[in-house]
Amino acid sequence: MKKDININVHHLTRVEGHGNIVVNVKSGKIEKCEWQVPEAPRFFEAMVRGRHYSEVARITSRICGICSVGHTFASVKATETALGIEITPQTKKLRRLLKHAENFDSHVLHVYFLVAPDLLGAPSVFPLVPTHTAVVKRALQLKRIGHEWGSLLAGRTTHPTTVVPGGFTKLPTKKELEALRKVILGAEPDLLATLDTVAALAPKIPPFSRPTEYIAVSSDEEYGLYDGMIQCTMPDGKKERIKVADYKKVTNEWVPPQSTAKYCKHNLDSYAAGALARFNNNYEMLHPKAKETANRFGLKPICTNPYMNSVAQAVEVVNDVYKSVGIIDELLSAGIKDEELVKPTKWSKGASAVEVPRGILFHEYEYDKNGMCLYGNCIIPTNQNHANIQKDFEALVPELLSQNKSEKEMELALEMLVRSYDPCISCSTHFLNVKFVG
Amino acid sequence: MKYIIGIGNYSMFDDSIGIKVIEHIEENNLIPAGSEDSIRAIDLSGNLLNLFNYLNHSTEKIVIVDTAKIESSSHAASVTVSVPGEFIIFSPSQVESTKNLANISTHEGDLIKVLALAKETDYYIPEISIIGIFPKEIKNDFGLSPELSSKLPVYAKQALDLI
Repeated sequence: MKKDININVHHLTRVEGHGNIVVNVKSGKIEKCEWQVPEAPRFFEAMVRGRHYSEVARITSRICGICSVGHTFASVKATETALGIEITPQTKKLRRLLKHAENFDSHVLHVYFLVAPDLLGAPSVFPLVPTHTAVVKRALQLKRIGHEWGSLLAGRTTHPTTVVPGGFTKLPTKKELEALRKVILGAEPDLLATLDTVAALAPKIPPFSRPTEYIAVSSDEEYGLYDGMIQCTMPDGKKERIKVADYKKVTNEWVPPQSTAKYCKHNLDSYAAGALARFNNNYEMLHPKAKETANRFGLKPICTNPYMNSVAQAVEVVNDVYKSVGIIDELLSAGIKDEELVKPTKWSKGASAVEVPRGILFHEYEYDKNGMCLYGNCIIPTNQNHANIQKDFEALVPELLSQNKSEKEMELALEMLVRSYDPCISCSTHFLNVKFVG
Repeated sequence: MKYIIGIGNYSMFDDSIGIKVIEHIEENNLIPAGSEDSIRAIDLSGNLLNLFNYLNHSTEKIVIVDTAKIESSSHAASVTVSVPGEFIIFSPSQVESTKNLANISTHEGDLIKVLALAKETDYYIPEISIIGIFPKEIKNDFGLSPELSSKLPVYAKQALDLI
């Protein structure tokens, strides 16, 4: 029977910011199928103009409360490129260690608090407290480890104070790094239990596939989180590396009629950024234990199921733990040395690419001879994923109709799809909204 | 250890007041001399789940500074906070959240629900006081309304008095 479907999800929950899902089907014919992002621009690029280079990262780190480390790195790296600053190997290692902390912290939150409720049939984490107490407690414990890990290196987890152009203003001591190593390895039992939870829930992940282009930072030195070139992997496995300075040739921003947010496209009509894109691009650079985890979950490159982004995040959590232990060992072996901040050698324009939990992030700045910012540009990963979510919708809705899914089942499948991208449409407000009781 | 914790979004105008109070305390070295090792001012921004890190037996007291909208109720104090810049002090047990969120995350937070989650998962909850400051405007911009920025010293003193 040809049916009518009307899905209007306004302000989708468990994603960050404001996004709508609108699907209208009349007598079996799809009339509308849209992922809408009606959010106002935030004008951070305008705010950095006229600011001294030493202030810019402080401002742009405020773009996001969860990816503030990544935004700080993208900012200082672009500034360092523009100002001809070559950081030391020690700084690079410490930044990589901090990048893993952010990835770990964010992925734990997404997998446990935002995705698991879907797979357990709960509207949020709260109903899971009495039924899955140990799981919720484990999530909070892992989140706490992420906080300690990031705070040691960044001065504080959110909006780092120690990361500046040219290096670090404060370095961890040998004793602190040794303690951190113990804390990270102390997470192993909870980590293994997490993988068991993910393995138990994985069969509930919808079996959907839509080949697309996958774009991520890629490097021969690391699993492409902190530094590298831009790499595109096509569904047939063909790879291409592009210089970071040419990032606009990759992003090609445009604004569709149904959205106020910018969309991106490269070789195809859309591309994917995020954990799955990193996995598809950089599988070979994963730690062996992360590869074992991927194998356990049946996750292989090139995976074309966007719902598997959450599983790729679990694989990355394992990678974050063991790669970080390796970095700490290298730092301890070399000894932590006091280093002066590296000074600028020129005043020009520079771009950077960093992976934040949700995908590849670009910053670019231009400075005058006094070190004042003339131009800024930030392209966040969620915007790069909007077009891909739209294309997924266009492929998924006909599939769901052919499977004779109900309106509610279709709505949940589309909501889960959006949530699997872990979108961060904007940082929302945090004010209390309360009434007195008693 | 005692903590003064500021919550909010720095780029959402008056929603940043909790963070600005922490900045004011730090920039003006307002932690009393001799108490630097026992009182810390923390900018938690929107990472409300990180509050769990301070919920343990080594924490004696927490004062949280946040923007607050108080829905009408029979409580006489609610009248006071209808004026932008005014504030009210309360404990988590005195209120219930009326925020319409399906969940908690690091971006869009609900302090009251985070504390409820802590209680349900058996975290130790030390003494907590909340300074809820009534905003004039919450919008996509840096800065504060004059009604709030002129009272930064008042809020900071209140937080320090409470701690």
